Amino acid sequence: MQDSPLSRHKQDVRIASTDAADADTSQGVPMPDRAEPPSVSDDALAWFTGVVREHSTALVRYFARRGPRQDAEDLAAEVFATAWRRRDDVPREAVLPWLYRTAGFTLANHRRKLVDLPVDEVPETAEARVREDPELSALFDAELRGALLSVGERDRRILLLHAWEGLDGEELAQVLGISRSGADAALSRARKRLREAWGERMSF
Amino acid sequence: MNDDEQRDPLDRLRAADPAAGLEPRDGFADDVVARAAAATPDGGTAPVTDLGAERARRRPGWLQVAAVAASLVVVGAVGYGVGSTTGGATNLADGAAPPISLQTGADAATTEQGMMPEPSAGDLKMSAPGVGGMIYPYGSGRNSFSASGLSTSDGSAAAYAFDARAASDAGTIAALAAALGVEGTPQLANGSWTAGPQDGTGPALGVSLDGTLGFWYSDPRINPWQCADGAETCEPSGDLPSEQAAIDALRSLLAETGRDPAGYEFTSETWDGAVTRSAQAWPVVDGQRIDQAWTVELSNDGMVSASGALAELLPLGDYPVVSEQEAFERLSDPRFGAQMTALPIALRDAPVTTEEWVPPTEPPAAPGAGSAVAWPIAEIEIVEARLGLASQWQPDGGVLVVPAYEFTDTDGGTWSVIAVAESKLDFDVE
Repeated sequence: MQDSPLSRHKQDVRIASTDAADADTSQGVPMPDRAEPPSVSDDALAWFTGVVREHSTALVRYFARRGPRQDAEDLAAEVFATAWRRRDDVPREAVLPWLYRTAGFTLANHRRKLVDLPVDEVPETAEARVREDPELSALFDAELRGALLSVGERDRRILLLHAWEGLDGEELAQVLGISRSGADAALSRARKRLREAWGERMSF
Repeated sequence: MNDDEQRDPLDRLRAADPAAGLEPRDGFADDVVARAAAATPDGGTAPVTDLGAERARRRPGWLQVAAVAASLVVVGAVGYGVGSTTGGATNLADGAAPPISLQTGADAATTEQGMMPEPSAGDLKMSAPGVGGMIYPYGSGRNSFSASGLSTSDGSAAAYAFDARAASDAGTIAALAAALGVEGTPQLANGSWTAGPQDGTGPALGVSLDGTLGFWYSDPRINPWQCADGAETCEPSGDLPSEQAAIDALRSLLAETGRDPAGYEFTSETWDGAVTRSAQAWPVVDGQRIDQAWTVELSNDGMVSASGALAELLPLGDYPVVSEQEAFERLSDPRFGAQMTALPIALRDAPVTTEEWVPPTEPPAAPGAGSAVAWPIAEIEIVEARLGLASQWQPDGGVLVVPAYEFTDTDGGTWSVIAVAESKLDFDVE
């Protein structure tokens, strides 16, 4: 007796709806350069406390830029909770990129949960999921919104990380999970496309 | 002349940072650390559980904000899911058949109010590599459709177009601004009409020069989700306006801009814990709702936001339409990209469970010699066909409202496909 397509579908949905912050991070991160795994100790907690104090503002802003402000702190806290659970995997010399990368997964997962599957597909990769991004909802500038909408999801994501989080070079590469040269090229392409989209709109 | 045109858009994007100056509330970091410390040493999940509950409690805010920012198509598409999961939607006048959407939900979600959606075929192509081997059985192409007893008669049906250009004049925009209480003379610049402050300090109106002449209005002063500067918390508060109040506000807006509310059907919904209620006015044409609704969102303090299409519908005469059977066959024709527009009821109603993710302890076993290759195909039996209307974007941004079929399967899922005969379809690529 085989699974009917329907029961298979249900199963996929259920799995996809588990706390995918964990699932996603286990897919997308581990990053290179692992430090010595700290034991659960005062040291670990002291390290974590430092991380939270140093990066709270950055993470809360990250989420406030991409969704309703009132959710930003909850989501930032969730990223930190993930960082604590996976502290052995967090590269000590590149904590913030790791946090941003995890934040991307957390946000995509959060959005998908909230939408409650009104769509015809529940893409299984984080990449595809972010395609739905209403991440421009907080952006007042209608012209910019239009230009950003026309550059495509990946370019948009890179542009926002660059413009708002101030990322480029090695850090951007780590957030995107690609090589440094790949990130440089991707940013350069995204900027070019944005300029083109902008030019087209302005010559409307 | 215009500095904005000279500037690198990236500079403008930097300057538009929606979170500039935002700081977490006092004590945020301490709370995060305290929760982590309280978790079990081996990586317990207590904090996550708490946060999940926290988010669930705040969920209405997100939905509301998303609805404000996103397009009418989203309101139409998401409204169903929202209503079915929270029981909030109310259909006050269901004389007309619901609109048919030829966009997938995912596409609709990326569509800003008034913006032209990207062609879904292109999207699918682009997303395919990312999706990799994880092809989802529903709505992703690996479907096997069956049906019986469908009509084989061709016919014709009326089509319409939005006349955006006719409505794009200072007088029309000024009348809308006046009806909404927005101060200042509308200005046409950079591809849109605007009136009122665009920096979030007061009620503002924008009208996009798109195929439906979509407008959006918001009053940040009474937005319950807008945190006051420096406020430590900004939990929305206030009483929920009644359904009638929201619909009356929308009726008034339609009437004040010279439209007859009798030509619309109204719906309204809210969410558990919300402090605003939204209402939609769906234009009714030939007994069909058109999926370009006007929407308002009302709080106890007044109208928080509104959006809609200013362009009026022009009749384009009758178009030849294929029979139910031929449209059904289009479901299996990749050229027509059958769109699943509503999930089967069983899936819609399935609770979104939050079981703990169990880490695997070992990788999957190697497939054995001669193993069959898993290639799941959804068997879909169509049991009902309905001819209705759906909006469809032209390459230049113009918006048509054309005949479309909506098929319902045995599980209650619906599938939409364009009904216009090939003689009236232009297959050229740009």
